[in-house]
Amino acid sequence: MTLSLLYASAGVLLFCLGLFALAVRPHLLHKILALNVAGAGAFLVYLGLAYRGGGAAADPAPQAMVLTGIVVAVSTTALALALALRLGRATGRMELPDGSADR
Amino acid sequence: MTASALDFVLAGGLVALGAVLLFSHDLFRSLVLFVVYGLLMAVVWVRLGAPDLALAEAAVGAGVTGALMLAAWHRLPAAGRRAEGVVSGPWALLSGVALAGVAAALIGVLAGLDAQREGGLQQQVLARLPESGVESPVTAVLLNFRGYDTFLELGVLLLAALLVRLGGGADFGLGAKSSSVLRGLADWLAPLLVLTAGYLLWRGGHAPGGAFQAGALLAGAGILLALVYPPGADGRPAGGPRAFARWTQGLRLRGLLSAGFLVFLGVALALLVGGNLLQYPAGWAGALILLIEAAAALSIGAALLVLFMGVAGGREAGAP
Repeated sequence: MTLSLLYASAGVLLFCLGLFALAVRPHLLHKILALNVAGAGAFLVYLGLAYRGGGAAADPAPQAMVLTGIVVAVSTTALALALALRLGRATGRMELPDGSADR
Repeated sequence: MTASALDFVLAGGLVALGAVLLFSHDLFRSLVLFVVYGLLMAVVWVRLGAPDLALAEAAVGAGVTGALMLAAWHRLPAAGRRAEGVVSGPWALLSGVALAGVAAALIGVLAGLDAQREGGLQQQVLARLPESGVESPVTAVLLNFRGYDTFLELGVLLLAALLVRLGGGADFGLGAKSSSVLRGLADWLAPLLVLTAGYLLWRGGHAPGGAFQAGALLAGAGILLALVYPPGADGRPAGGPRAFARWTQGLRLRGLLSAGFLVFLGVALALLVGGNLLQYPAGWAGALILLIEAAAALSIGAALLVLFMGVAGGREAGAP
C-alpha cells in the first residue's frame, strides 16, 4: 500500500464518519464537530494524493487550497457556533426542532 | 513510496480518534479530543511534506477552533451540556450502510487514481516561481498564481466576522476568575506572540509561514489577553488590554477587520487599469505581495479574535 493511498483512504473514512455523525448526532455542537471532521477528511484525501515522496515538499497547489480551506472552515465554524448558541438561548434546546412534530 | 508502520499508526489513530470524538457520550470529552485530533492532523501534514499546513492546522485548526468550541461549551446552559443522544432506527442504519458503501467505492476510485497519477501542478509552479516575486512555492500559489482564491477567502472571513458581530460582539475582559500568575504569564507571552507573528509573516516569502499563520498567532495573543484580564468595575476591560480595547472600537475595528480585503481589492483594481486582474507588473510582485500579506495578517488576526469574542462572550442583542 502506498503512503498516498493510505492517508487518502483515512481521509475518505473520516469524511464518511463525519457525514454519518452529522446525520445521527442530534446535539448541535456534535453536528459542528462532525462537519469539521468531515472537512479535515476531505483535506487529507487531497494532500494524500499530493504527496511526492522521499521527504520532498508536497505539491504546492493543493497545499495552498487546503490552507484556504482551513481558514474558511474556522470562519464557518465560528458562525455556526454563534447561531447555535442563539438558537439555544431562544429555544432552550441545543437540538434542531424535530421535523415530525410540525406535520 | 510504501507506507511504514508509523504511517499505519498515524492514519489509524486519526480515524479512531475521529470515531471516538464523534460518538462519545460526553460532549466535553468530544471537544477535548477534537483539539487532539487537530494536533495529530498537524503531525500528518508534516509527514506528508506540508509544513505550511502543519503550522496553520496547529494554530487555526486545533488552536482557534478548539478555543471556539470550548468557549461555546462554556456558554451552554447546564441542560445543553448533556449529549447522550444518537438517532437510531431504520433510516440511521440505512444511511450508515450506504455511507460505508460510498467509502468503499471512493477508496476503490482513489486506488485507481493513485496508480495512474501524473506530475500534478508542481512542475508548472516551480517553473514560474522566479517570476512570482517570492521564493516559497505555497506563498506564490496563494498570493500570485491563485491570488483570486485568497482574495475571496479574506472576503469570507470578513463576512463571518461581521455576521458574528451582528449577533452581538463582546468587548475584552472575560477572565473574571483569572489569577495574577496567569496575567503575568500572558504579559510575557503576548509580546512574544506578536514578535513571532511578524517573523512568520516575513519568513513566508521564502519558507513555510505567511499571512495566515501570522494572523492566527496575532489572534492567539488577543484571545490570551481577553481570557486572563477581567472586566473592570465599570464592566469595561481593565489592565493592559484596556487601552487596546478602547483603541479598537467602532471605526478602527472595522478598519482593522477589512484592511486585508480592501488592500487586496485596491491592488486588484489598480492592476485592472493596466491589464489583467491581479497580474502583478514585473519587478513589483514581491513588494505588492508583502503589502497584501501584512494587511491580510492584521485582518485575519482581528477577524479570528472577533469570531472568538462573539462566541465566547457575545452580548445579548440590543445590550450596550
